[in-house]
Amino acid sequence: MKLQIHRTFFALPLIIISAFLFSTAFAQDQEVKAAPALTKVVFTPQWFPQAQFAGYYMAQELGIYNKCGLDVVFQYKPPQRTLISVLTDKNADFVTDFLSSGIKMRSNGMKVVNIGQISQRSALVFVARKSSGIKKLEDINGKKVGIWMTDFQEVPKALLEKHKIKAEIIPVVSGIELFLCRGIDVIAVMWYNEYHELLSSGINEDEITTFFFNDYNLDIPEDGIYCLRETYEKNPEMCRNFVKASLEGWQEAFKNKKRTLEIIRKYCRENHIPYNNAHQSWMLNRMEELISPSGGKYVAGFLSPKMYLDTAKKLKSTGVIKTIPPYNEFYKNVLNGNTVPGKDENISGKDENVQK
Amino acid sequence: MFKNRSLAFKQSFYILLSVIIVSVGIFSYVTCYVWSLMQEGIETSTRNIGESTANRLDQIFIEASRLGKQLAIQFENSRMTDEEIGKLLTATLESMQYDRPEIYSLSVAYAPYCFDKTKEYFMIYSSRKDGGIKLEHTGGADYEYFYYNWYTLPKTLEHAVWTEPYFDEVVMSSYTVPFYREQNGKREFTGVITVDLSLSWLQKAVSTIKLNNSGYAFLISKFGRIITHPDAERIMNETIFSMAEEREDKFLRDAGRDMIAGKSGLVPYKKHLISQKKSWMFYTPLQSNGWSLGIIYPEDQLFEAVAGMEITIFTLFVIGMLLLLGVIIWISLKITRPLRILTRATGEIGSGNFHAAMPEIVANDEIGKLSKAFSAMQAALIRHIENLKETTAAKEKIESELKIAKDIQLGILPQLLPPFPECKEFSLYAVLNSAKAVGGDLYDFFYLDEDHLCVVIGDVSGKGVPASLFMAVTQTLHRGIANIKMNSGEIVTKVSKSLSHNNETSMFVTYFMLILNIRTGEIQYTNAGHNPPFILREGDGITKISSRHGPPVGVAELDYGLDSEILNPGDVLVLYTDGVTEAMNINNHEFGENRLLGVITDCSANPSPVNITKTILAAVSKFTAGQEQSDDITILALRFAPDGRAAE
Repeated sequence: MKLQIHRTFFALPLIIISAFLFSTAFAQDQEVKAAPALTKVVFTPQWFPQAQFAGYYMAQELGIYNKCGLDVVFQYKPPQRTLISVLTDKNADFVTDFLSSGIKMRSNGMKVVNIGQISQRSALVFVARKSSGIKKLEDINGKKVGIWMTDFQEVPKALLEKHKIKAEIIPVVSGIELFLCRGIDVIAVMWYNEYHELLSSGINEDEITTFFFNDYNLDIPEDGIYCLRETYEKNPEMCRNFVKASLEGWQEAFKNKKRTLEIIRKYCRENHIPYNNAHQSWMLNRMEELISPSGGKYVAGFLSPKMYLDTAKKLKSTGVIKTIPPYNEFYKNVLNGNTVPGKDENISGKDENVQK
Repeated sequence: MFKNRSLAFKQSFYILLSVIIVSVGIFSYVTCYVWSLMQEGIETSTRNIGESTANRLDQIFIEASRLGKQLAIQFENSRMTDEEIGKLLTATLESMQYDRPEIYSLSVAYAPYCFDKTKEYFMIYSSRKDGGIKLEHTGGADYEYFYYNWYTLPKTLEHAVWTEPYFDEVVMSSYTVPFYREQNGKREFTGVITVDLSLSWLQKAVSTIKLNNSGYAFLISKFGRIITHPDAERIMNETIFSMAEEREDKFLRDAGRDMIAGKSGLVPYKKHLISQKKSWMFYTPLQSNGWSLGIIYPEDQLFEAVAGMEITIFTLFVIGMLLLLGVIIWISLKITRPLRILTRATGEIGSGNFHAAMPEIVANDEIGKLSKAFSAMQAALIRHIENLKETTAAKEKIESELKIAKDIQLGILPQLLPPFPECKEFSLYAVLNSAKAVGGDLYDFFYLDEDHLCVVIGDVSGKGVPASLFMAVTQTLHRGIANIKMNSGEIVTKVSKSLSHNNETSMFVTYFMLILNIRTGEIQYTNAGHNPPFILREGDGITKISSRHGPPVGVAELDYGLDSEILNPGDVLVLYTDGVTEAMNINNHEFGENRLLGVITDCSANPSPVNITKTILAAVSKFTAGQEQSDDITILALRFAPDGRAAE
């Protein structure tokens, strides 16, 4: 029994190679000779190559970053290392992280800013076996609920509290094994990832009951792009270009999914990560629904004041943060003016959206 | 279908078709039977291999779990110190070094404050390292082991459990056992023992299962994760369900669910890993930890023995069929050869060569009989043709004789028509159309002296040669008997007497005789049973001379009287036989006396004898419209013209 156990089931081998990757990334850095006109930036996503970051790989592979004057280097962090430390240690210029984690960082006084809110919906979902008698939310009363010990663990708890459900919370470090073994009755999972792992473990969709958080007014979106405030202030053009190119990359990713999956496979190969096509395909499709609820045609990448305030208030009310940082300090709309793209109802804070 | 095909073809076709149908039926049955036998055998042997392998693998898991349980009992029953625990774990691991090197590490993790009331974390981890055993104390804010699966699983489930395999340099799985202590009369959860098993040996153990060189085996965990597989990329990365999803193979998913449910079975498997061919999968569970062993074997390779047999049988079948076809064609041709010769000979006979050669057939079968019948027919035909020739010659002879007879008969009648061209007092014309070659009608005219003309018309009963002979006799008689001293009644009486005398044939003649005084136009006449003649009076219509003076001559020796009449200049006397009035048309209606009367009257404008006779003949011919003439037709017309108009 190894003492270091990581979060994701599918990526178990990564723990061994992660350190290697992290060190070699810098070596690669030095080897890459950027064209003179390009600005070199280092980007660190939350996790190793997978469809959750498809847009960034497409932007890189299709030369969109280069077109925007950027020479982007992908650099991965070991699972145990926090993204904030990657930023503060200046190991990366840009990282991705959950909105709840970003707000928490900012609230704790870290000088980071959100320059693009990619995910527009919450992917969190409670899953229960129908055979355990759970058909509606109230049925969770008195049951064992597994919740991962992450920055957003308060959100599932908040959902239960809001509906006055008293359940036994079982903290889970990673994976779905406890649920599979029936050690717990309910588990909070990410729709694009662990939900599919449940299906890939032999559970049929008609055997489970799902409670999507966005159906219960707890729609806290996840992945966004973060950088140090310092970086933003010093080089807003670079930030703008990075977000713009990334959004374009996402649009391309949804446009030609087959190609996208091939590219993800390529990145997995390069980084010695096993590639599971069924899983990555599922993830890409779900990311499309999370990122572009309008149907893949348009990627907003925008954090509206309402979305921000709703999320921050929820975090505050559940005790994750003590104070709500001002919207304008937390979010910088680098796309400057193209702020309110349209149909998304969540983006209703156009008037208050005072940009610098 | 084969209307224009030869018998040999038809015979060959139907026999061959029947043989093929029967053979294919038998072949199919045998193949199915052999296949089911093979399948059964393969299923049994695969099941045996699978189950024995599963048992073999189970042994190690069973030993590891036994060890975990023993340790748990020890921890439940005694409160050991930190050092004692270390020694126990080290000693246990050392003792396993040779027997069970797969057991890689052991650990004990206490629930918070259970080992020491002041310590939240207490965990000792003992593992093989560099040929020795390494002991580590761990747990703390950086490693809150209480939340890890290997700890929470046995704790929440309250029983020992094998974890899902995980990757730790090599693939591993842990047997985790909860242990408890009595506290305040209650059984309290105290901690977890783990026995960590390296699974690298599994890959080897499973890959040794070989089936016909192309089969392979794989192992999945109790939630479907691939633990061993010939394709290393799948190991730990895929589950049987993600594979099913990728292949869109619902059957594989269903089979996977059966596998993780601990069932065993044999199902079709969409694609063999290497050959991509249709395969079969047998699966059976490992009893110790709920994992499942799958064995894939490609269908075609497994059944290659059957396939080989099928090819051999098929080849033999094709050769056999070709041989059979040859034999059938040969026999058919042999059987039908005489038929073909017969056909040719018949054709020749048909075209006139009656001496065409018939096949010589010794056999006494249907063909032989047919051939003999044909030969007999040929002989009969030749004979018949000979007879026909003879008969035809005889008939021709008779016909020639009859023609001569006719000529003779006609020779008896006055030939020169119109007669007496030099005569100015009267004109006369007559025709005799016989129904047969020779006829029984007669007419005659001759001078008794230079002023008196005797005219006769008669009709002998019956037709043909006898009638013609009787007519000749009658003609000869009245020529011999008639003279100027006798009147018509006396002459007829004498003729009748002569004929009826010794008349054994009972033939008779209807007979009309008249004697015309060519100076005065007076006529005396005697009618012996003959059709009454007509007189077309010039400018005064038509008169029928209906007096009769007795029966036909030759019937009896009777005396005949006579009557007289005066012909005025221009009057025409028309004599005829019953061939005219009794001529039949197609509806069996007779021409009749009235119609004749009409025709004669119509000739008033041109009352010459020639015209009258020809007009009557034409009318009769038109009336009968081609019907066969049944009786002789004789017409005689006499115009009295002392004023010299006879030549008109």
